[in-house]
Amino acid sequence: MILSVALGIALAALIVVSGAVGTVEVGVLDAARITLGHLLPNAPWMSDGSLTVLQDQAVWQFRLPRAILAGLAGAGLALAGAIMQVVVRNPLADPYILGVSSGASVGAVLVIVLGSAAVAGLPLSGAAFVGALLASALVAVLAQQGGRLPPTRMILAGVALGTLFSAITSYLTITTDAQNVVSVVFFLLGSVSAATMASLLPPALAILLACLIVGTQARSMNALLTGDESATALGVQVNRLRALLLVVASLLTGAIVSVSGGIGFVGLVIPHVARILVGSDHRRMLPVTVLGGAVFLMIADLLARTVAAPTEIPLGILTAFVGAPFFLWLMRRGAASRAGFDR
Amino acid sequence: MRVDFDAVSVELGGREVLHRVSLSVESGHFVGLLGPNGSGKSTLLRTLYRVRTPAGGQVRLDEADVLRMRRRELARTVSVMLQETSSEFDLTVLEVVLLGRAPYHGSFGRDTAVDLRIAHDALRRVGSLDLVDRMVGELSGGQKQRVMLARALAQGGPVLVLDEPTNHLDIAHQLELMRIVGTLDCTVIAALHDLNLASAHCDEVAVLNDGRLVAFGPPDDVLTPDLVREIFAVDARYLPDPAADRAVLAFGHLDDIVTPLPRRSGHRPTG
Repeated sequence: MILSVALGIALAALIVVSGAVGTVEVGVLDAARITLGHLLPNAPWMSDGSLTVLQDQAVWQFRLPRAILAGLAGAGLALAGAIMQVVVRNPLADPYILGVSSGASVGAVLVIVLGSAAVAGLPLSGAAFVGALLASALVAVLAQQGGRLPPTRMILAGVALGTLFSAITSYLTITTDAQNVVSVVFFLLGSVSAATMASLLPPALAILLACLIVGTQARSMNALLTGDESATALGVQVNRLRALLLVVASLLTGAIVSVSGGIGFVGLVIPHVARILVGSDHRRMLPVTVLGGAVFLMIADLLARTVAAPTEIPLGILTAFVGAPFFLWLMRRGAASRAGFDR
Repeated sequence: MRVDFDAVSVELGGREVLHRVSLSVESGHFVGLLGPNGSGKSTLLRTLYRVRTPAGGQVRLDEADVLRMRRRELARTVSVMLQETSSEFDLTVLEVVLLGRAPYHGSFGRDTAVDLRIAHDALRRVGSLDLVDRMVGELSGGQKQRVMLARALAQGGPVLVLDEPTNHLDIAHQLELMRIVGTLDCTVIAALHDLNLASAHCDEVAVLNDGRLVAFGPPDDVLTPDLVREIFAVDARYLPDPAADRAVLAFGHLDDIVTPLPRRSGHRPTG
C-alpha cells in the first residue's frame, strides 16, 4: 500500500520532470504550470505572457505525450506479463510469449515495406494491432485440446508461430530499401517518440479495461497459481478464467505494441520485481506491477532521449541496459526467495 | 452429508478407467478407497469435485447431482486435499490456507478477520501454526501435506476428500492426520495406500481394481488375506497385536508363499 502510494507520487513527479527535460529550456515549475494549465480551465498563468508558445508546444505536444505513452506502455506490458505468467504458469512468460509481438511486427513491417494498401488501407498501428490479435487467436486455436488450453501446448505453439512470424518479418526487412530498414528496426526495438495526445487513447482504454477485469479476478488468479486441479477444487472455473485472461492480455499487448513497438524486458521482469517486493498474492502484486511498470518505462524513456542527445536510443535497448543489472541485483538478494526464485 | 456414486463410468483418451462404480457413503462416515496404483481411486474422487465428468452414471451429494451444482457451491460443500500442489510462484503458508476461503468470497476483496481466524485455527489443528509465515516452496513434503490439510479444513465443507493424504508423512503425523480426520464432523472419503491405517481408522473401505469396485464394507470383512492376495498381488496374513486387541496385516512377496518357513515380519528375507 505504502509502496503503491510512493510509486504514484513518483509517477506524477516523472511527468513533470519529463516535461522539463529537452532542447527547449523549460523549468520544472514551468513544466508543472503548463501541464496543470491544460488540465484546469482558465489558469491565469497560461495567458499572462510568462510562458512562450514554443515552451507550451514542447511540453504539451511532444514531451508529455511521449512520457505518458511510456508510462502507459510500461504499465500495460507489465500487467500483460503478470497475466501471461499466470495463464501459462511459467515464470519465463512475458506478453510476447504467445507470438503477439511477432504478429504485430508482421503487420507493422507490411505497412512499412509495402505500404498501407497491402493491408486494406490500415495505418501502421492498425495493421500491428490486427497482426497481434491474429497471432494470439491462432495460438489459442492451435493449442486448444478438447476445450482446454494446456499451458505447455500454448507456450510451444506460441514459440513456433513466433518464429514463423519473425522469419516473415526478417524476409520482408532484408528485401526492402535501406531507408525502410531503420523504421523496421525502430519498431522492433520499440519507441514512444511518435506519441501524440490522440495516440494515447487506445492504450489508455485497454489498460483501464484490463485493470477492471483482472482486478475482479485476483483471488482466482492466486488459486490458479496452485495448479488447475487445486483451483477447480476451490470453485474456480479454470478454463473460463484462463480464456478470459488470455483475451485480456492479448488485447492489452496488441493495443500497446501497435503504438510503441516491441519494447522488451518490462513485461517479463516488472512482475517478478513486484513479487519480490510484496509477494505473489495478486491483490497486492498487481497494483505494484502496473505502477512499477509505468515508473520504470518513464525513467527509461527519459534516459533514452537524454543520455545520447540529440541522438535518440530505442527504448528496447534502454530497458535492457537499465533493467537487467537492476533485476539481477534484486534477484541476488535474499528477498527473491519469496517470489519462488530458489527452485 | 451423504455421497452417492451411482454406476459412475469415466473414459480418458478413449479408455474406460472407471466402469460402473456404485458406492454409497453414509453421512458422517469415513470411507477409505483402496486399490493398486492405477485402479481408479483418484479418478473416482475427481468425479466428486468435478475435475472429471463421468461418461455415464451420476454423483450425488444428498440428492443433488454434482454436475448441476454451481462450482463455487460445490467448493463450499466438498473440501479437497490434493496429493501435490504445484506452484512456480511461491505463496506463503497463510496465503495458501486462506485460499480455502476463496469459495466464500468474490474474486477480489480483503481477507476478513473471520477468514484469518479460520485459517489460523486450521493450521493449529494440523500442528503447523509455526509455519504460518513460511514460503510453501521451502517446506518438506510432509509439512506441505499438513498445510494442504489445513487448507481443506479452512474450506470447511460437510464432505472432505483426501487423495493419498499420508504419502509424505512420517508415522507420527500419519496417525495424527488420521486422528484429526476421525474427529471431524463430516463425511470423509480418502484414497489410501496403507491397508492397516485404513483398517484402523475407516468405518468402511472400498476396494477398486482395474476401474471396478470389487468390495465394499467394514474393513475387517473386506480386507481378507485372500482379497489382498488377489487384488494387490502380495501375500498377506493377520498377526495378532496384543496391545491393541486386534490383528494387523503383514505382507510378503507372493512367491514366498511356497516357502513354509515362518518369518518374524512380512518383509522380504534378505539372505
